Amino acid sequence: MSSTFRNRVSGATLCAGLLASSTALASSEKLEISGFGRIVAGFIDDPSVSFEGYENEVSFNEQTLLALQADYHLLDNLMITSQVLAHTNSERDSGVEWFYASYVPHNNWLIKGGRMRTPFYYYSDVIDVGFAYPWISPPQQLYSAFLFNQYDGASVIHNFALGNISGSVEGYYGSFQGDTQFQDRRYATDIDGLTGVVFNGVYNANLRFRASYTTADFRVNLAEISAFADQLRSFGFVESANSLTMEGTFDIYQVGLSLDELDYNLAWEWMEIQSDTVLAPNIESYYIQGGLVFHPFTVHLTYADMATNPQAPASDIPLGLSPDLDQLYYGYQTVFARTQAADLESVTLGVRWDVGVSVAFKAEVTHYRGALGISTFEAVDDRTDFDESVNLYQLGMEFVF
Amino acid sequence: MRRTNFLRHLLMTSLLGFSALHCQAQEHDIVVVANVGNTAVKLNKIDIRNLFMGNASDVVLEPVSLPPQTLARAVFNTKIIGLTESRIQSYWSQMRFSGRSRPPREVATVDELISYVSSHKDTVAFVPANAVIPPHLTVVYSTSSL
Repeated sequence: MSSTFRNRVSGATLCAGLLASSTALASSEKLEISGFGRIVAGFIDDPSVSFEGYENEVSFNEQTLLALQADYHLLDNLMITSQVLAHTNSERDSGVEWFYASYVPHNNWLIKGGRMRTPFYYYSDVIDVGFAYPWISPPQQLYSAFLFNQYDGASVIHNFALGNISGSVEGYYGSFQGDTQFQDRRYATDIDGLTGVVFNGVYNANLRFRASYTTADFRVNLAEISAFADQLRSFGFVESANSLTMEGTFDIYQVGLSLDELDYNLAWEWMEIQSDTVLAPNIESYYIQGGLVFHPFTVHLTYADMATNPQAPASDIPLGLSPDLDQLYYGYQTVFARTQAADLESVTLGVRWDVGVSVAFKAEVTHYRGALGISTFEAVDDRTDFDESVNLYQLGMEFVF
Repeated sequence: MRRTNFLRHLLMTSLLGFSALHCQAQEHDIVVVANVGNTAVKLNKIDIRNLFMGNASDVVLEPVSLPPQTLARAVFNTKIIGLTESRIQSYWSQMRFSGRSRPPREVATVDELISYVSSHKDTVAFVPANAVIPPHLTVVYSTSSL
């Protein structure tokens, strides 16, 4: 375990200490401390690639984390919430994940402002709370970290009841300045005009429906690629240069359905990302999941698929006119190919064992099929013997307190 | 369907514990009581599910619950909510840590629960069917009438 993690944990402990000491000052009714954590170990059985940080040796560092949440009630209907997270994965930021004020002006309204998690999909805003979902790794095709997961802004939620349907509509607006991660590299990212609408419905209290739409302007600074794009631009190859620029608008559509019964559950979720840039491909993903409950065990099976719609490279660099231009042409083709995403298909078999009301153990194996790409597999040491198929084995413990 | 019923039976038995089989049938039944000052009020299962799962409902009452390890709560989960305690806890972790809603207030014993509901207007709770219920509380639902 690295010293960085110890530092982070001691940071979290310090926060906990501070929060605990303030409990003495405030009445216990006003301050509530809760938290969650997970210890996850995993490895993939193919030495030629890495996947979501996992390699061909057991690692505890990809998903292990600890988080503390403090809710402080300023008034009966006004609360401040902060969530501090310590993560073992060096690619993940440790620190304040949530920090917002929430106000309930009326029983059916909730207004929040501050730093929050972006609610793209069903589990996006609790992606670190493994206790909340059946898997160890929720379907990567939707829940991979290639999107930013926080925003600074405001959200308004309205709850309503209509006969047997109980629902809520959320609208949010904000921005994000920070890093996004593609495999083991991080890139400075600006998200502006982030606007989203989420509809949640519950029929008969156990059939859930969710639909959402998100749009934003984005700019990702792909340092090494930008330098090459600038070079192309200086030679007058504007189309090629633009095709290596990650700047534009994206739209995300999501629909999900889940049924929970005493002895089984079914879930389906679909999303599509559309963007007007060449570099960020359009993506369509979905998963379908079913689980059988043999209390206290739940056995579940998930099929997930991601289809990308790759864009064609620019064609304004002529080939065959001069060796210098040819070099530029092939340079461009290589860089362009390296930025493409690949399709990804997977089947996951897992079991969750709820040993108590706040602790669960999980085991799962996922079989992935897909090519090398920006959000899938990365070659280890430039090895080329990847057969486009990998098994990921994971064991985990989830807890809340 | 037959398999589902068998599984339900198995679940009920494992959730409620074998020793409970020797208890009176009434202990496997619960009543839902509310402090509404109107004896004509009745709720259906969906109203109660929505109230105790934090979903919006036409009925505006504050739900109050017993701790997870209690028999009455196991009966309530199985017969009314229709989910295991584990699934309910997992659901509340999602709601709580995403800042959407929070689980119902919990009090330690049936006596404390009845006393809390008695003294707080517009509250609702489930208690064992054989519990002594003060006359000013309204029984809004009973599992034994099914």
